[in-house]
Amino acid sequence: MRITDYLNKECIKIPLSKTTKKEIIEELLELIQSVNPEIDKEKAFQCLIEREKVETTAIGDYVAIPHARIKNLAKIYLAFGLSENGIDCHSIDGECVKLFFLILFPEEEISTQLKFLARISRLLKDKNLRTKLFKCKDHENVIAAFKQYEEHHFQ
Amino acid sequence: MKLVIIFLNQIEYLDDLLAAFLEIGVPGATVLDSVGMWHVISYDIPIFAGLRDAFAGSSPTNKTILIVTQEDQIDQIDEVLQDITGYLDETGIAKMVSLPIDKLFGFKF
Repeated sequence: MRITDYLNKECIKIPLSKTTKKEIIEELLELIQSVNPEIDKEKAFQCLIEREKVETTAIGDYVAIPHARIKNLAKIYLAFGLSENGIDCHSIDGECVKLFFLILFPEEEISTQLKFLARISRLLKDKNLRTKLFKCKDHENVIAAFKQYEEHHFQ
Repeated sequence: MKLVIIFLNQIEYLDDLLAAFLEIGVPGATVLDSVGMWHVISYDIPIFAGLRDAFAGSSPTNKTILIVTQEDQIDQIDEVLQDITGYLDETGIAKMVSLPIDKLFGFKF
């Protein structure tokens, strides 16, 4: 499983235009829906907000991974956004969030969700990758950065 | 000699199990408090918190029992475990493995 297999250039937004966590979730969801009109945006948004209520997905190191399991989803959908100034998301380390990864998982595929979250959170622990992502100017930079680090970490 | 490791997920069986081990002459055991990986990841690692509902049935704690014993006692231990927990019929109650031991230090049998 490689993150780059799920990164679609249409679902990468640099910089994000919104300034709160909820708005950014909506902004990234709109990206996904714009290329995947079959997604029920309202339902997905509710699921994402419900997941945030369980515990924050702002996992520290300027990273947030809002995600949710959605019924009858055919595959994993991923969107990435960079907030240049950072957003206060009540992150576990108290830092603002600059890197947002929004993920929708098929509800039934728990093991896939586990693997995906494990992979992306482990990759993002690499400070060099985060630094590289902070400096990304477009989707090509993002995909190239992930490609490079996935090849390095997961042969 | 063998090392038997029993992962007991339903800890209400522990007392009966240890009593039964004494009856069949198990020379001793070490009982460790343990926690399954699913519980740890969904409760201690925030990014996996969304999976709590998926593992709602899993026990928050379990016991790991270590027994150093003669090879010929392995089948008896297995029988006792089956008898008390029915672990072969109902998955998740208990699991058992046995491993060969190269050398022993400090044990008296």
